[in-house]
Amino acid sequence: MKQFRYILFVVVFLSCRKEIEFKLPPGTQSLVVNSNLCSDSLITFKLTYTQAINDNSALITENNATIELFDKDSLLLEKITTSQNGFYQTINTKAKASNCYLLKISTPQSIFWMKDSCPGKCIASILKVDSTIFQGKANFYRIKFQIKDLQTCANYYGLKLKHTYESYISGGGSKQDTLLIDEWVDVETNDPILTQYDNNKYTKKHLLFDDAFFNKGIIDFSFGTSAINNSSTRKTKQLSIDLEQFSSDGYQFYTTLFEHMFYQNDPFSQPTMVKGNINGAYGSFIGKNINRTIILFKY
Amino acid sequence: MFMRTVLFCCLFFYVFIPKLDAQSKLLNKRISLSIKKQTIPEILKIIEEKSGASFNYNQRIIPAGKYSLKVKEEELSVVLVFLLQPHKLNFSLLYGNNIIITKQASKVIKHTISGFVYDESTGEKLINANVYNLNTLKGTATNQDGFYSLTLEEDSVNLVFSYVGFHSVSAVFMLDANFIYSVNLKSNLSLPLFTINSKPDNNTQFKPDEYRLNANTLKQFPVLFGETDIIKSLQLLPGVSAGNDGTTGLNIRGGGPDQNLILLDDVPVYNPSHIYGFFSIFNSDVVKDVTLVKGGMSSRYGGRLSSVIDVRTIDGNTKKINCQFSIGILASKFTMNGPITKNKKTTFVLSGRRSYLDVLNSLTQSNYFQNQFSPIYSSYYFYDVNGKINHRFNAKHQLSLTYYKGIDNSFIKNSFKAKDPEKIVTEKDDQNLFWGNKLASLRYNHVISPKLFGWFLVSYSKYNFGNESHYAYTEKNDTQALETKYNYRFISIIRDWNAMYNIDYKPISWLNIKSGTGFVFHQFAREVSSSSSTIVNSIPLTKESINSIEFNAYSDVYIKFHRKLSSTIGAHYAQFNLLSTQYSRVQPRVNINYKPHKHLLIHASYATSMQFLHLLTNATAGLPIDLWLPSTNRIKPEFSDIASFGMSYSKGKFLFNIEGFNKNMNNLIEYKEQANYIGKDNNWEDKVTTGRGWAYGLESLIEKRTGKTTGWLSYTYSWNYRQFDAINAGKIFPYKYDRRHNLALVVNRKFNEKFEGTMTWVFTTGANTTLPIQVYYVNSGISPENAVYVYGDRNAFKFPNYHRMDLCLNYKKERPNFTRVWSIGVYNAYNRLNAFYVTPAYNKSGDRTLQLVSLFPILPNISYKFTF
Repeated sequence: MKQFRYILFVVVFLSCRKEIEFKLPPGTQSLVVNSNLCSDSLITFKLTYTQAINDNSALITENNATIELFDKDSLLLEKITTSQNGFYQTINTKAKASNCYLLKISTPQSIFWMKDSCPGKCIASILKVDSTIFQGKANFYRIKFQIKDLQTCANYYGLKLKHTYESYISGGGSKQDTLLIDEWVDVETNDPILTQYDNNKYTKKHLLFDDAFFNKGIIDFSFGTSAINNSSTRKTKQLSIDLEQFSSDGYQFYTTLFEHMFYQNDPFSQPTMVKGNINGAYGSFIGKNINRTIILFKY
Repeated sequence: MFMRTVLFCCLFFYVFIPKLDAQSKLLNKRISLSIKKQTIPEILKIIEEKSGASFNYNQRIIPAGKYSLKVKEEELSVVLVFLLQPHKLNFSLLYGNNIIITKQASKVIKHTISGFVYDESTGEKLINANVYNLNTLKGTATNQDGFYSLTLEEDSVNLVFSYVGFHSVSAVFMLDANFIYSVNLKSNLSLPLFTINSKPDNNTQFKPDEYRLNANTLKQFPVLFGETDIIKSLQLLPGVSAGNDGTTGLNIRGGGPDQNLILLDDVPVYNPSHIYGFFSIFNSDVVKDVTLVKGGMSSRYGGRLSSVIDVRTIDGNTKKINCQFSIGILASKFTMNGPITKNKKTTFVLSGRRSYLDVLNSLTQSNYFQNQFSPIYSSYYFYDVNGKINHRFNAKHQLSLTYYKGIDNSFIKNSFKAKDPEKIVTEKDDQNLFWGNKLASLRYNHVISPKLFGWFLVSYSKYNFGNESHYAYTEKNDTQALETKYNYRFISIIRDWNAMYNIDYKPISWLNIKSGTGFVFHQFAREVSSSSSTIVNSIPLTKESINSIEFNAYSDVYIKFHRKLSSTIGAHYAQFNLLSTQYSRVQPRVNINYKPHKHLLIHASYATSMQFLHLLTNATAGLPIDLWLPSTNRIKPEFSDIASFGMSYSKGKFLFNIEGFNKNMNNLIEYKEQANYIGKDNNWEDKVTTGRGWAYGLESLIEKRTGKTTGWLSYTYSWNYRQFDAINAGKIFPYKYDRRHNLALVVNRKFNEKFEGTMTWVFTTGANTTLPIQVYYVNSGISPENAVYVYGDRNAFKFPNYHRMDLCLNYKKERPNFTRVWSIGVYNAYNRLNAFYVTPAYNKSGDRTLQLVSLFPILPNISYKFTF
């Protein structure tokens, strides 16, 4: 839909841009929490503040906060007081699947509480890979993938593809510099389930879906990428399939985040807000599991 | 009686017509008097000296007593009415300068003269032409079918027929029986003015909040891209503000674009736009008359809160086949109309228009997407067709069949075929976004009696919006064939079937009753289908529809209480039924006109309206993803009341009009925050919230109506607010198009018979917008730092002021058999970068700033029109 609108405006009429100055109200700075509550990993936090839209100075970080992590029975697991550029990390505590955590962040100005849990794990595996032509693109790398959903409760998933390739740059004479580059690529699919979700029109690099069609069952997906194009200057080394599982707060956070980013500069849409799970602050404290499957390419 | 009428007509045409001009000149002669306490014979003698008239009367009928009379530059007929009517004396012009004064009969006998007023050159009926008796200043106007009916006392009458842009015609005769008299008026483009209302200085029903544009006046509006756009022309009137640059959205007195009842030959139009709002669907070549009612609307109209835009198309030339075609930068069109049969009772109109962006784009856009296999071709086109067949059985019966179809289509196409030794691969991918209106109506007009006119209409209106995609992939080799197909289609349709009967009854000259009743059957349908050869969960074709029935009835009574005071009192009743939900309401409407002085009119009106259909939109530019939805048990009908008060002063070349208004709107709908359009959702009621709105302001207009230079200056000073409990934390916020100042200047200059030019300049306060005020960064899982905006209050910021000048120069060359018109124009002549939207973006030095995006820079345009 958005594409159609822009085609018209770009093709038919020349639009012109100019910078303007708006008198914006002095908004109050609010705390922003970026956390990583991923099972089997140390828990990390980045505390920053919002800034005015036309403020191009460096981001303000919160270095004087105290972070306390509790388990579901309010038992203190760890207290963190030291940070580097607003970055905090647990020393001993790793998040565990199916566990709930309570978090308290005390800043000089205020105290914030938040809670979330890491979901239970599913089983994912590759059934088949092949190369074909898909929607006009040659060398489409197709993956048939299977998920075993183990919990009866609602599960929320994310799917990403990371393409890792070597890039060869001439270093003068016969020398060549080799760079290893990682990039997230579009997950291209016409799979019935992956295309059911309107969320997935917002980005193809991070597909979101739930288990409404396969709760506690086994489901096969077909998807792929057309980014694997080997040439004299680049060669694919590996393709990583990240199957993420989120809490419901996490699923809501990502769907609203991608929607917000999609409509962010669209003049035809109402502004959309990103829904975090921290009262009085922006950002999120969300639990997730990441199941990474790597396909290695050997030549 | 019949023979007498025929004989009278013969006498009239062969004897009197040559003398009419001189006689009417005598009665039109302007004199000034200042007489104190004199007898009537003495006063008549003074008038004889001043005017050259000669009065004949019996002394016995003249009352005794002394009277005063003071008039300044008044026509003789008006002076005599003032002097003689209070004493129940009549006057009539006999021959030469002789005027006879008679006593009114004790038993007044009245007769009705009725008929149609036509354009002499085309045979088209003229809407709202003035018809009045110069002797008594009693008059009327033709209705939307060009029909008039005037009941007068048995006497000599001097009937004057006038219409904007046409020579007036007067007819003097003895009215001693009911009489059918139709008249042809001759077009005169040197006279017409940019007149936007009916003649206020006669006694017809003038309404300051109602503007009329006829085919002649429309020709004098600026031409943009080869088109005189009707909706854009209306945007230049007071109280009317446009949406964004280039759009045809109309925000009238604080209402939204969905609150305007847009009628094409009495059939409702749901989307009046082509090219996402840049053109309106109305082809100016077939438009005969446009009426914009901003307030105090007739009870005949219902179903929308804010205004009525009533567009009438031509019936077809009764004299000869007339053709015209024009070529513009974006679109071309042709129109043909004329008689079908030899007796010229049956006429036709056929007109078509098509854009050719798709043709131009195919030459330039083949590599818009960097596809390594096949060129992807994307573009857009629209076309529309108007057709009409009109048959006049006789002077009393007429049948019209009208048809309109318009389509807009935006598409992306992609196909390729590859062959290698092992296999043949083909792929085809088509995606379409389309919308359009289809209208048809059958109308039967019947002059039941000289005082009673009736018309019956059945109509069909359809608006659909949809998108579809078709994908097919095949891979064949010697042993097997692999085929993948994917099809998706979504269509949202609203269909209306409408039947109505209306009457227009004028039993006496001071009373006019208009009534009618009708049914509308609404169908809101959606069709969704999805199929694939590889997908297990295909959605079978799903057709859903909701039906509703609307019953309506109305009555308007126009009463002329006094020479200075008239009023229209009426009510519109509407009942809406959807499943078990029923809504109904009586909507009273009142118009009062008081004319204390011949140049001054004071006007007041009050109207309530109810709207059962809601337009769900999240777009700023009137995009077709807007969905029309019915009122349900959860979403109640919108309703409004609007009151206005104003005055109009007209003298000589100038008209001055000022009017204040106050409007309240309830049950308005908006998307909730965080809700956007998703076509296949069923839960639209969960996504919307209801609230209220109000607007008030002052409108003014100064118009120069005659001379080589004509035009007007309109200015509106207004406020417009909304309040929704679920939006903006329940706080009041300004409407997007709350424009405090709205000014339009239109100047039309006729240099000579060949050249004429138009200049328009508009200035409005900038539209309101919601802007991000803060930013923060989060990890999206793809990128560690994604900017997220925190938005300020709804519509808390204003765009910079909007102003623009358009220029147009027409060169017309007339030959005996054809006419050619070259139009050269400039849109946005001084290249003002008006805001289309404002967005945060990074500048060249990497700083994040707010950037204004403007749609139209200076745009020259040229078009050519050929008529034969």
